[in-house]
Amino acid sequence: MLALFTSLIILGAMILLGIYFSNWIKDKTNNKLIYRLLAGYLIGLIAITIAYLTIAQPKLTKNIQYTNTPYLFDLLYAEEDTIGELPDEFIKEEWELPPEVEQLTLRYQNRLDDMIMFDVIVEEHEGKQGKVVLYETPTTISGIDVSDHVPLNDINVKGELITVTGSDYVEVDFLTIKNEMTLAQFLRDSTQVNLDYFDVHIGEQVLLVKVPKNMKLNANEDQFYLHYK
Amino acid sequence: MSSPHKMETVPFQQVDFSTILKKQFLYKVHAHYSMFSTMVILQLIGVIFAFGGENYGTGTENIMLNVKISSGSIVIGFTLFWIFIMAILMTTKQNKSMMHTFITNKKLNHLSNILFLLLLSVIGGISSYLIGFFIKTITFLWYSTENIIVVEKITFVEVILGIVVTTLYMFLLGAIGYFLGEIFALHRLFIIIIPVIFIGFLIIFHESALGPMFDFFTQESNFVIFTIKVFIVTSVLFLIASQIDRYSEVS
Repeated sequence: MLALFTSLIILGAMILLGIYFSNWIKDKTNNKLIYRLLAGYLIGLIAITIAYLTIAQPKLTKNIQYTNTPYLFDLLYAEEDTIGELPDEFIKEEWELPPEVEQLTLRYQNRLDDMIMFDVIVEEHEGKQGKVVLYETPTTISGIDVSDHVPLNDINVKGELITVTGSDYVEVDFLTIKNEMTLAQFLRDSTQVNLDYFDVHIGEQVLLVKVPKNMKLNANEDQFYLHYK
Repeated sequence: MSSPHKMETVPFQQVDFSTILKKQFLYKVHAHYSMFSTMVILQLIGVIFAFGGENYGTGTENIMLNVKISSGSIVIGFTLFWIFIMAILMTTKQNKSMMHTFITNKKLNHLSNILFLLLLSVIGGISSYLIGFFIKTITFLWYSTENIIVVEKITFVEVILGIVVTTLYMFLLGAIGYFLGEIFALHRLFIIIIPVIFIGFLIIFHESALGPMFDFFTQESNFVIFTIKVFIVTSVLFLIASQIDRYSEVS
């Protein structure tokens, strides 16, 4: 409500300012000059529109893939007592652990002084060789994948050491070019773009560590949240 | 040799309706030419606001994502407000007395006002809609194309549709302004009473109460039905405005 009144007051003030300036212009000019300026203004706008439609817009055309990304944590705890399976489509990378490895250490190193909790699912099996699987969901804005612009934690597996390196501070400015409100109401059915609500999903990472039974796992519990399967 | 004091006799001619209307209309265009410069100034201010634009931002401790929406909608909003005010100004005493130099009647005066508002709507509609492409071109040059995540494509036909719809919205707002202007002309007190009623209505029933009124136009996705709605509502508003003006003359 306050915003509405404030904007009305600002708009009113600008109208008065506009009238003041136009009266000033009126004193300094004549109507023929104004008509010429108006004609020039309209011609200029038409030229810019043509330039936008013929030069800029073809360069901006993108095939947008919309994805519906689930929350991995929700999938893990979809059922009360058991830890759920994560979909294969989100497997980002897999590492086979060497057979001689007897213990595994999870280490977190951060570039910033921030606290993280990294989810790790620990699955024990009868075999002799371990495996590490990284699940990662894309970062999306209203269903549009922007993962290429948003680096997440870097995971490195070397011997018996799994290192999670936190990303640097990232600030990304995105731009969306939308149709004006007066046209949008007639294109509602044909357009797929819906940025009327701002829905951001920042990519999640979960490690699945499949280890032989009795293998020792070292991890700082302040940084790694271990879910035993 | 004719005497210098002899009055020149002008033959009485039956001047037809359309000629007077055209003359009055042209006179108004010339008399109110400063309205166009007001519009351009306001639109340029709107462009500055549009570059500030609609921004959204969210993130975590180490990731911050900002999304800026580039569109000319704000300039259209400014221009709608401009035509609304200009329509009110056209009903002022000063403007009405300006027409006393013409052989005219109220009906002709209203018709020429409506034609003038239509001209303002067309110019306002074209310029405010097309200025959106100026904003988009500048933002396109400013931003890296990689960071442009969504581009709502537009065809030439859709540009024409956008201009026509914007013009219709301008005409609608112009009609509302004209109607209110005639009410204000009835008595000065209405200048205070009507905004107070409007604000009171907003306070009591909140913005959502105005929703159905806006939705009547903004939720219409069929262009033909939208056009019919605008013409019906504007016709009714102009008709009532002319009746109010007639009443004010009698009283």
